[in-house]
Amino acid sequence: MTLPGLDPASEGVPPRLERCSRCGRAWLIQRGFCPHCGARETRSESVSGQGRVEAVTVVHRSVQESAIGPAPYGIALVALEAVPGVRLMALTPEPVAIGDPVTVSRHGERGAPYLARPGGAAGEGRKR
Amino acid sequence: MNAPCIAGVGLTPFGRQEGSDTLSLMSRAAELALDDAGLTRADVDGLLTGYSTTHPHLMLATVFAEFFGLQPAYAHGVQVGGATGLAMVDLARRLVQAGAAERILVVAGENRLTGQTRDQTIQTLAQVGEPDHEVPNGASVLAYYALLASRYLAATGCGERDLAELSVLMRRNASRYPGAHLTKPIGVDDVMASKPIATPLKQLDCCPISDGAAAVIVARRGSVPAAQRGAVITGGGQAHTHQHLSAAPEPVAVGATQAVGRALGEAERRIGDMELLGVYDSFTVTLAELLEASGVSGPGQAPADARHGRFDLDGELPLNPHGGLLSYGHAGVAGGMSHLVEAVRQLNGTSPLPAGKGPGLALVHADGGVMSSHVSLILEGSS
Repeated sequence: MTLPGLDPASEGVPPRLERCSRCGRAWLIQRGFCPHCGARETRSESVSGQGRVEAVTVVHRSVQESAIGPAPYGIALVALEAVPGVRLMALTPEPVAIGDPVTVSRHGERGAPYLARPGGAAGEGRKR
Repeated sequence: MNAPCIAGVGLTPFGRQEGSDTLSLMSRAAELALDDAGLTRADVDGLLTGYSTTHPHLMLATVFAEFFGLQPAYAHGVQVGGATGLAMVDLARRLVQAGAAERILVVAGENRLTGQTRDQTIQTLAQVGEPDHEVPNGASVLAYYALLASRYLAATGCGERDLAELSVLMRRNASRYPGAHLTKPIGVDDVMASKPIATPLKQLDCCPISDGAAAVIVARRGSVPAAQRGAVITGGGQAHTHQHLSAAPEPVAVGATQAVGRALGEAERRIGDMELLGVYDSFTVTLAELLEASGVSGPGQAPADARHGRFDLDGELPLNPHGGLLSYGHAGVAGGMSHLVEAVRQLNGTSPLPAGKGPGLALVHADGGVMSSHVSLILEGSS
């Protein structure tokens, strides 16, 4: 499988979620209806990528290159601050640890690849 | 007693089986189970099969029925990842209880090791991930479980050497069990020195990829000769909490708590009554999460319980005497059935590696996906 490459320095765009217009809850996977209350009135919205690292790994053995290059590469699971209960899986170009504040950006048309960079506010922690 | 029994079991050796394929392996396990039950093909009136990654097919049950020589009144496939084997047995007992069939053959197998490349297997397994939000990151099933392991270690204060204890125990069992894939004894240092896969998991935290097959016959007790009425299934429970890790509940293995609770409830037993465990162990962290979520071990205590001998063959609560997925091996759906086969052998007193105290009550549990689908069964000796 070939995955789209990306420039690790690129800014990307904020993560996009789907939100129910009736009950107000939000989720990651686009489906055109609310999985909680069943409403068909939903909207797509961009949210802040600020969050905290819940889990982290460095992949050493992989059958494919990641969007930021061949193994080893880091992947984190990030809990979004703005939307409790929503997690994003993201590549980590710089090392991060569980509990670290990070900001997630979206680099794929539909979603992944995502990048999680150190720092709780956009721009913060980007040492280049 | 209305509880269906397991009239026969079959388990092929796991590992490299050159020249084998899905149907030949399934046939071998089915023959073994029929022989064990003292039954013939004509006695089988129901058939449940899993899936095979080396033989994907819309109608695997029917393909197998024709190949093996069965014309069952009831047949189809089932798919819930690693939980498929136990889900099939759970379904079979419900079908028997409902009167839909009397003697149901449950069979699975595949040449996962020799029938495809290791990369193909890993790529197939990666598809349990979310195609838009997880897989394009370069994530695989190894990464999902590695993420789980990092959280487990952070939450419990355990270290990598603690998780390694579970791998060491499985290898110790497998080293004495006929047909196991990996038999060379290992210690914690060997696990720590094995090559990194996805931190904190190393190669010896991960199960191997094996060829192999397993089969069981679930029957109405009155439909088989008295001598063939083996262990009975007195309870079953399931829980399906999510598919993808990014949508997992908190705590992540709560499905195991729910499924085990439902199975114990039906069997009118408590977790403390169990005398033998067969618990799914695709990775060391899988086993730790499931032992703790099921209430067998306290939070973060599964590795210490293993280290202190609680799960040894002659310990208080023997665990996976055949060596589990981590060392007997993992051949897809058949891997998830191997724990059940071994539990039945232990309860019937026919295991090649009998547990010290002659257990009479067993819990078997498996998960599919990433702690996504859970199935638990309670088995009791028939004597």
